[in-house]
Amino acid sequence: MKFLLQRLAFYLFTAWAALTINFFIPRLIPGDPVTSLINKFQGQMSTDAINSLYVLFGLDKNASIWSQYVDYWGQVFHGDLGLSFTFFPTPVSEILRQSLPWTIALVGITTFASFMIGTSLGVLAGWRRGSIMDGLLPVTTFLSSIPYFWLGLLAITLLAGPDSFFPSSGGYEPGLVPSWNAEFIGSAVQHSLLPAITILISSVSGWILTMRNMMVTVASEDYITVAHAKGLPERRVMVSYAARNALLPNVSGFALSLGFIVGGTLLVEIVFSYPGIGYNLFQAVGAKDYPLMQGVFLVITLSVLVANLLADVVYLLLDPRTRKEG
Amino acid sequence: MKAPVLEIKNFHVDYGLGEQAVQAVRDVTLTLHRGEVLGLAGESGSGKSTLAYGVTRLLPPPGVISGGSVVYHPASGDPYDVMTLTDTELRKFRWAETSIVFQGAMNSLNPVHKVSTQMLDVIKAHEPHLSPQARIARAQEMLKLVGISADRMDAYPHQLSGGMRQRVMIGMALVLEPQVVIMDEPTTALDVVMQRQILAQLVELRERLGFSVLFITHDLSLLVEFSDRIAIMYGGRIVEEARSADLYKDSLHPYSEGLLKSFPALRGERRELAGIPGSPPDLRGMPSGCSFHPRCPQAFDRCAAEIPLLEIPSARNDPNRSVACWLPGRTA
Repeated sequence: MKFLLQRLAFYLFTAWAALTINFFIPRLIPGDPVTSLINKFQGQMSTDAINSLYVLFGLDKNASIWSQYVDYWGQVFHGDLGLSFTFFPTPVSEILRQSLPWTIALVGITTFASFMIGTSLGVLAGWRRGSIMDGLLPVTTFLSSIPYFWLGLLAITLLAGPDSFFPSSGGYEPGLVPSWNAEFIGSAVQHSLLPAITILISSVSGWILTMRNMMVTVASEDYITVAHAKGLPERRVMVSYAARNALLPNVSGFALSLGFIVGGTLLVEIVFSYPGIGYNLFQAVGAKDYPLMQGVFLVITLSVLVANLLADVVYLLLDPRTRKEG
Repeated sequence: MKAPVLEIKNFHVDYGLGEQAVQAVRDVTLTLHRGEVLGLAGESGSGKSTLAYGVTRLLPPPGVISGGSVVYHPASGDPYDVMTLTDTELRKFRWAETSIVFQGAMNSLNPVHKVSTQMLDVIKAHEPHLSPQARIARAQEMLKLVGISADRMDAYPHQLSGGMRQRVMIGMALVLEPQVVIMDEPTTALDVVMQRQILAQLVELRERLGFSVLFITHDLSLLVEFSDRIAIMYGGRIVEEARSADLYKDSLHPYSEGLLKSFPALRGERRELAGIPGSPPDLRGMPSGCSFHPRCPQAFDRCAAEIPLLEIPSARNDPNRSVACWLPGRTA
């Protein structure tokens, strides 16, 4: 428990540091968001409007940096991340609220599926070393070595098209209104299939490989021989003795990859024009949309931190050696 | 003579296949009798652990059993050959009839499972009809016998000391009350005080439960004191077999003699401490004839030419001992 509180304190500190950096970066880069917004409106703005924009973005020149900092924290706690330029005047938090579920659903499910499939295959490949399962490894490794955008483009070229079942872009049929009905969900699933399959293909081999190698290492441990000598059923030795122990490094890898669900899908969402948070970031970078970028970075930072905390907790549950006694 | 419980006959173990194969155990014939402690001693690489793994069919690849049989005599029923058991029969045989205590006390327990989980799953696998309460009671009783208090059941292996872990392993080995317990250097990783305690306890448990022990070690001094009979292994073969007292007082093979001279006696007259010159043979290129002849101080021409067989020595006329040596009076 004490260990957990320590970790929590550490993550709170990291979160504070990340948010503070997030506050300073826009203020350190040459020019400021307002100037670029003014440029966007090409001089059709009055001085009053410009000043109020500065206040709106928390860049009020009359306020000290400290009071700006305090205001910034107040806004963050209220979920107010400013207004987006590209979608002016929609608040950044509203944009993120709309795009986050898409990313989490697509990448979250595929990451989980990839972990489960890869780990199970890795367990079998490691346990029955030298069987056909080992032949799977070069194939999956080859597939994962293809750069993701190329795989995505290839999938679109070969499988998507006007007459194809697979749509080439978007998150759902353009005419539909997002809601919880069968038609919309069906369309969303249909649109997510191609990106999901490509993610799966490119990520599954990593799990297979690490799990297989850990299984091979663990299989030569003394307690595996003891488990065999005990006359336990083969399945029990494989699952409860070998895989259970081999899983530990993979689980922390999985928790970390959860953190990158939000941030690491830029390419997927760009290639498939998927309405997720990575696509937002892509648009924000293109349009110099500082508040939106800040918002996306904030979400990425927090999700990486939460995933790390999760990894710590899961490890604590799985490996008794990491638990400290009081 | 007591009834045999485990008869190893003409047992061969190779590492690898075909031309490249290394013969680690060659033509070993050894009988373990009911209720006795049979010591198996030899240098590193003499094949003693390989023999133990081979007998229980636990050899990791590339180990291959290339010949021989291991006949087990169950408490009731007909004897059978362990080598011909199917996988299912073998699983039933393991631990319930013959359990093993391994060398690495530290690594024999799975670090992520509680002691109780690891004790209970073996009971569950072999006696599925037993109720969970009865299983727990059995495990606790056995731990108590080896001197571990019942509240340690919920401990993880890393919370126990090395001695405690080996006690747990011994308790686990006895939990199904097998007839044969194979101990492969069970006390090597422990300090001498702990060694003594555990061995004393083992002797006591054996008297109470009546199992037979095949005790493998490189520490001959330990065996002399604590086993009924001793077999000495060299280069994959048994070179001498005798009752401990006989072997200690009157060893017939020059190698046994060398081993006995390499540790000091606590009582009796002083004797010179001497090691065995040279080093254990390379299994890939075994010397011709008796594999000990390059190191043997008493070797003569015949030793390099012919392999001596394990026979009852004519000089002693004692059916309980045998030796594989060409020296006068040692052949039948």
